[in-house]
Amino acid sequence: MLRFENVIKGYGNKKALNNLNVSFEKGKVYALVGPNGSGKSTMMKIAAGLVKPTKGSCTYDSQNIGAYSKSKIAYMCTEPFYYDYMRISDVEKYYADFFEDFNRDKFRNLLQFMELDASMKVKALSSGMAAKLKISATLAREAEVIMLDEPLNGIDLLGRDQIINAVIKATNPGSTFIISSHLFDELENIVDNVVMVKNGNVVLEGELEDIRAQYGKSISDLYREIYGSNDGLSDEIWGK
Amino acid sequence: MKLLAKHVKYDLLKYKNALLAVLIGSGVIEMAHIIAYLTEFKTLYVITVIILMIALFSAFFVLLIYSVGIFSIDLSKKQGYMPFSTPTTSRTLIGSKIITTLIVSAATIVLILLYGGIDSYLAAREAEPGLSLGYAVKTILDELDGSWGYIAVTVINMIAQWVCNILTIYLALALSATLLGESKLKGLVSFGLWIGVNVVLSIISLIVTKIFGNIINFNVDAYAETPAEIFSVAFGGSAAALSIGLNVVVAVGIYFLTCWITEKKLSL
Repeated sequence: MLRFENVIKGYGNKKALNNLNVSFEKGKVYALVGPNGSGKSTMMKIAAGLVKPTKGSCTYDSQNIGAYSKSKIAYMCTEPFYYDYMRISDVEKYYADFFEDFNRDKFRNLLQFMELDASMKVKALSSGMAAKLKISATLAREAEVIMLDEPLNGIDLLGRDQIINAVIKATNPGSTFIISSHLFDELENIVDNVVMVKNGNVVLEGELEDIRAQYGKSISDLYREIYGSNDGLSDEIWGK
Repeated sequence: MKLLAKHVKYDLLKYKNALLAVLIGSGVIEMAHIIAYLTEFKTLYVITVIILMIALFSAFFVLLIYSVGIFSIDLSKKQGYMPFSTPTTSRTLIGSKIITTLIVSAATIVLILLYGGIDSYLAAREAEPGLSLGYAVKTILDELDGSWGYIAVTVINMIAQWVCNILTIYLALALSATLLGESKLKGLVSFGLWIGVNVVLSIISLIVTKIFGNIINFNVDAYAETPAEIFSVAFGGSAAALSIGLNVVVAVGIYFLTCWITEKKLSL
């Protein structure tokens, strides 16, 4: 189980996470939703060991985040991060070198599915192709936890379908999936649990069906209610 | 160890183009230098001598930039997510940077010795026509006979100092990245911290030398016949022994402190 306990993460005067408490259980598929700047990426980076909490703790299987958790948790960040010299085949070698759970056949199948060629230079890929590569490399790990940070960001409609299908195929009872997005609608068909984050704290969490039954509303309506609407502002901005 | 070797491999691969450019570039200049020497093409000879001298003097700074760069770029650019996402402890990761630094430094010294050796041999042949390479090497070895202990101590001292300096810079980088995050002042603060850490280390070094210097510094001119004895006398009698000891202790301390900061506090 991946657990955040009283986690505070500050950047200067701003708190990205403000006494956050949440757990992610094995075998479930979570949507981590919230507007930009709500703390979703910081949460994932803490779980990936790339960012350290200012206070509180993040543990996986009751162990602090470190070499052990990194061998069990696969993380895909929003930014491009592969070395400039690499071709897609070098990315495959890198993952195979460092991650015992990396399945090369699965990676090659995913590349084929995403219409990517192993000889392509990573630096020359379009943003959409780079995103597909990151997702292929992450999903090719047969990790216990797979975290995808905004996997559909900047992807065209057809690409979104490819990615959603790849994620659906990759989900399995042995793995926990945490997929972040600032829009819930696009994840609705993939996930069975939702964690809504606002101002660095969890404002709503639970199974989709339970939440719908409890509040008598769709998740999208709840999302709009929690994060508000700026319809009132738009008229002012456009001078109407 | 396997993970460490893999990180070394990728730190070398990351900059393979730059490393190859230095290797090929210096090789071409050396070849031009030899050709100019043999054909007595004076203008080319002078130009190549100047370039080789500049390359020799700048080699240290290039090595320093490379050694620091392989860590600082991982801390400041998103590509750092690659090594830091792997199931590796910071001890292994930082250890791999030091090993990479030592490998590249050793390769640079071998290259300098090779080019220097060729040029010296050509110069010696001019003074003594018909001089064979084997005889020239034997003469040099004979000259060095009896000094191997001092040479070994000097080399060990240089390595210890080099590693200690690189680790001091790593500590300053890790500290400033931890304290300032993504601030643009990070580079400047790292430099300030590096100066600060060096001042503290100099003071410690001075105090230790004052206290222990007289105890260790004995009998430099002791009689010694075998290489082992020469080494032992040189090591025991030279102030370098104290310097090596200090550098090793400081390097180990700084290494563990940098690893702890990187593992527990540093956010990318």
